[in-house]
Amino acid sequence: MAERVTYDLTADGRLCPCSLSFEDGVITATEDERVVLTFDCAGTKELTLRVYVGCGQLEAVPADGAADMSDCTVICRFSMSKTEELGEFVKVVNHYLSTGERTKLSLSDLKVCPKCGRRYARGMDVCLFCVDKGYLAKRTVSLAKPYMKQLLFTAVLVTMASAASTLVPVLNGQLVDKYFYGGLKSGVSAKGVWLTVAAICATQIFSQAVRIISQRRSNKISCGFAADMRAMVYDKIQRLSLSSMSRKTAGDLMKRVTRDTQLVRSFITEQGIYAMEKLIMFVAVFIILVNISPLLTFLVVIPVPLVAFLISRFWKYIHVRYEKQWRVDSRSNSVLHDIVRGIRVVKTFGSEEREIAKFDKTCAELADISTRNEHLWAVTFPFLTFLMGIGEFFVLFVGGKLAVEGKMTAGELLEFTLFLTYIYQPLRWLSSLPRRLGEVQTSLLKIFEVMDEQQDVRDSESAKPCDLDGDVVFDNVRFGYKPYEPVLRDINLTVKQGEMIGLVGHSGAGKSTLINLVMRLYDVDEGCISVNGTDIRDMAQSEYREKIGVVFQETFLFAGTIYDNIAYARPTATPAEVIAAAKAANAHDFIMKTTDGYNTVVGENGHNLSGGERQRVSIARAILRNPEILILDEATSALDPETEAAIQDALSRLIKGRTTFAIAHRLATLKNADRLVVIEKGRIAEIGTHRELLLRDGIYAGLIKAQRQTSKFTQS
Amino acid sequence: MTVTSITPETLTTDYLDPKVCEFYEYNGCFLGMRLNGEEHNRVILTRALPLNDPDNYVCVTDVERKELGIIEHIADFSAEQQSLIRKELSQRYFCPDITSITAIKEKMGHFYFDVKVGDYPMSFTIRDLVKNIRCTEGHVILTDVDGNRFLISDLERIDKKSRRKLEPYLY
Repeated sequence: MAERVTYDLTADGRLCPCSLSFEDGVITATEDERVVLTFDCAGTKELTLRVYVGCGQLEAVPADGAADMSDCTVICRFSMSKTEELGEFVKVVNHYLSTGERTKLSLSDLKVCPKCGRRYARGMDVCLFCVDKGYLAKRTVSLAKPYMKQLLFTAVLVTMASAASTLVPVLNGQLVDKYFYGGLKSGVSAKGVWLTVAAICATQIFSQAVRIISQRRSNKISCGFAADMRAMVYDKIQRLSLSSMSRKTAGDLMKRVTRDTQLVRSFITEQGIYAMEKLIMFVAVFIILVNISPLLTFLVVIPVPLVAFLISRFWKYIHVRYEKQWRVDSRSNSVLHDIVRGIRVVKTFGSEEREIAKFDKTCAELADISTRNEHLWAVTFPFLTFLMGIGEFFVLFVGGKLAVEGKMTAGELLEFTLFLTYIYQPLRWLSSLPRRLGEVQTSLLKIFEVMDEQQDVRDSESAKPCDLDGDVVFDNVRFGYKPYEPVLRDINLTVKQGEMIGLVGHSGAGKSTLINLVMRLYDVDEGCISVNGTDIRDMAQSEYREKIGVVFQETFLFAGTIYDNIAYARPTATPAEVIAAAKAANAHDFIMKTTDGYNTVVGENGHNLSGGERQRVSIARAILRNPEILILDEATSALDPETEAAIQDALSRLIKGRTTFAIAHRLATLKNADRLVVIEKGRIAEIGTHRELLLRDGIYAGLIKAQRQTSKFTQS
Repeated sequence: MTVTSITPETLTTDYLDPKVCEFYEYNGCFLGMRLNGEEHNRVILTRALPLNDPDNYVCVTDVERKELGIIEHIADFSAEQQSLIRKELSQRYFCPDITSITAIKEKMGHFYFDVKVGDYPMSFTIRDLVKNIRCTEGHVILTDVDGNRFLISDLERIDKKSRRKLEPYLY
């Protein structure tokens, strides 16, 4: 059966429904149900996607084609919505071209909503456009299960407080009818008055006391629930693969752990319990009002649907306006943030006035939009509030008439008007609920999005023992961060146990990607990487990474002491071991020059240490870990020659006997490597020792010459 | 102390001279360039200022992105050459021009746009408004979650209703 995908652009850039199929080595393109291309893949090396701006094209690259790619065949053009689908198509065809085997398209990640036809957001199992509100409620309730008993108890307390509150208007009504209004005629003693007032007071005290208890309980529940949620999200984030992490910014992830969970907590505390109280109150009071006077109740309810409709429209409108205000505010903040952070640049270029004008402009914009919003709010909201309470006037007018005519007592009218507050309060609250609900829904979805994220790098169910005491073998490895853009291809390499490999190549050639694969931060798309005969995908990630040590160019130190940062590699290490590691890393001397020695606090990202000092702490960390495979990613770049010499010395001790992969732009630092692997455009171009590669006079020799010329230029 | 001033030559770029540079169609689908007699059968054109000066400063590279030269003004070339250049640029940049906005709905932090490009109805989703709606000099560029771009080339030209719908999202 043919493998079929869709695309959407004709050769002349017209949008139209088109499809592409692949069967028996032939690609057929159909536009508007008309076949526009039949392409026989015989003699084709591979298919490739070229992504441009807002569009791209699929091309067939002939075997032994021209170097400038001018003899490629354009199969089709597409908009960016089709890149992933066509990327999968490319995979299937390229697999067929390289192996002759037919594989099926894997389009499971490209889920489309059956209801609205929109594609699901990445990593989501629901369509955000059509998501049923019940879905979120169900999931939230399932998370809140451990708190159900406490929630029920709080609900009982709230019901008690509400019931007590509803007694107050009843007692007030009795007071008027029995003692004030009726008392004048019958001459009832003042004792009954005092008793009724005391009852009102006791009811209020009881109601408030129960409310305090319920509030405390609801706070406890919401804090516990939010803490659980926070822990779950944080736990999940820690387990996410690097590719999932790189799709989100650090700020975005932090917001999900802090702000979104906080929003859920506030909603439960402020709205959840009130919701119960107000609903109970609304239903109870409504029944009481109907009992007192069905006619007056009808008058109260008449304006409600219209006002509720107006309020919901108003909320929608004002919400968009406030969002805009929020964004302008946020931009104004980031302009300020930029200026403060880049103050040295601003001052050096003498552009203070320009920056002041820029900030003034954003402030003026913010002031303008805030004024307009506040104006709109000030004019509209009181009017809506008045409309909401308009039934009260009807009640006073008709109720007063009924009282004068003797069809209703003054006490009953008072009782009724007092109860009105209990009706309008929940109604006003209900009118603002959609906005709050909207906020919390978004937060819940974001939280669930992280929790549901499928891990790209997963542990195998039958993980094998992790023994890295052997050769590292790359067997026909192919990998790309995007399915349509391979960064590494045809990587075949055997690294002997204890060998040091220097990875060399131009920027963007794929060196860092190769070591990312060794660290298993990503899984290969095709082929495999094995250590000591075991595919690294069959090993438990945590166990595998425990045996790998890494020294990066950008060293990250956590806020804490130098000791903590070195011991991070092995928290069970003794002080003697930490000091020994620091000595081996040539870090001990500078540490001892600080006042607090190993207890020196380094601050966030080690800001009070120099680059060379941070690097040595990081090497000490790697030494303490005693890794079997070592990765050095530009470990000595951006350092002065003296510091670099000290670090090279430390590194040579660290490398001894370990399988090492090292990347360095300064090629002289790789002179001790057993072999150098030159990577060019994602492929291994040259392998050999420094001397062998110089004799070959290829890419490596060219890089060395270029570097010598640069150093001559900088020295002259 | 003598201050060395930057000479005008320092800030001068050599642009492609239409007299020695000729574009041609190659293989029916690629743009080629003959420069000083040397033929490059497939070149890629990239705008240096795609948003505010799309017709000037167009970089010519080979497929490996090695620069061969820069076109200063497309208008300096002959009509036939201009049409070849524009055709290649239209293949590189796809940015449908929105003529009206039917609806904008916000759901769960995503903004769903239903628009018309001419008579062709299109729907797309924008996630982060701050990053993905750029409004400069009377035109608006919207980038959707897939990386597609949509243009409103002249805000004044779209109908009032559409403008009113879009206005709260512009700043």
